[in-house]
Amino acid sequence: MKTKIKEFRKTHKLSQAELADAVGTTRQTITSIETEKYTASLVLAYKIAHYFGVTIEEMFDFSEIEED
Amino acid sequence: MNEKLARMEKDIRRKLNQSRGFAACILLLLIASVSGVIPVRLENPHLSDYMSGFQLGLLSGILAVALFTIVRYQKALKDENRLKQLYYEEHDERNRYIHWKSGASAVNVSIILLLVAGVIAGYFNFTVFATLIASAVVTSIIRGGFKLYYCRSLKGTAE
Repeated sequence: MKTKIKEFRKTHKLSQAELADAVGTTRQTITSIETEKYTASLVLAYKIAHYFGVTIEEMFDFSEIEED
Repeated sequence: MNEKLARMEKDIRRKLNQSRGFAACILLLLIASVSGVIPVRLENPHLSDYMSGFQLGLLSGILAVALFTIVRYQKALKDENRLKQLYYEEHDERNRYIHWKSGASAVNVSIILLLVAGVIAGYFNFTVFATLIASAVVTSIIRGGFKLYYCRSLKGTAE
């Protein structure tokens, strides 16, 4: 699933490790989500979106699911 | 944040105590094995020696892993950052998913390999055949049991 996590991270000058620490996960998980290798759970998706002050829909691209 | 850290510390401390208990059991087994309290009694004395050596090596390896885990947990309890990192690693959803997926696949592959090995062994040795087939059956039953348990515990109620 496509996400805008990297863009938001760059805007806020955050490293993957810093974001991982902020939302209570590992850097490897953040990397996997950004490279679309892993889809975050609802809880983690909410935590990430909430951290940047946006909605889940603004952070994650659900267009592929809507096409299905 | 302090409440969260306290929860993390409690979790790691529980695992540390579990690891200590496990290491103590392995150490007792190791001592019993080395001192001859639980001797290996096989018909072939050479095989007995080999089996004693194998058990000693296996138990030593398991003890080394347990001790490494204990040291890791103890270090984490002394350093807040390390504690957080260890807690996140152990509760990370992606790590849990990998653990679950690899475990499930490993059980299925193991059952198939045990059955195949059992069939092949059947041409040569009945004891080995029976052991392998029994292992495959027991593993299948345990797998089925866990599947049933999780199906029931995760079952919702229709409204």
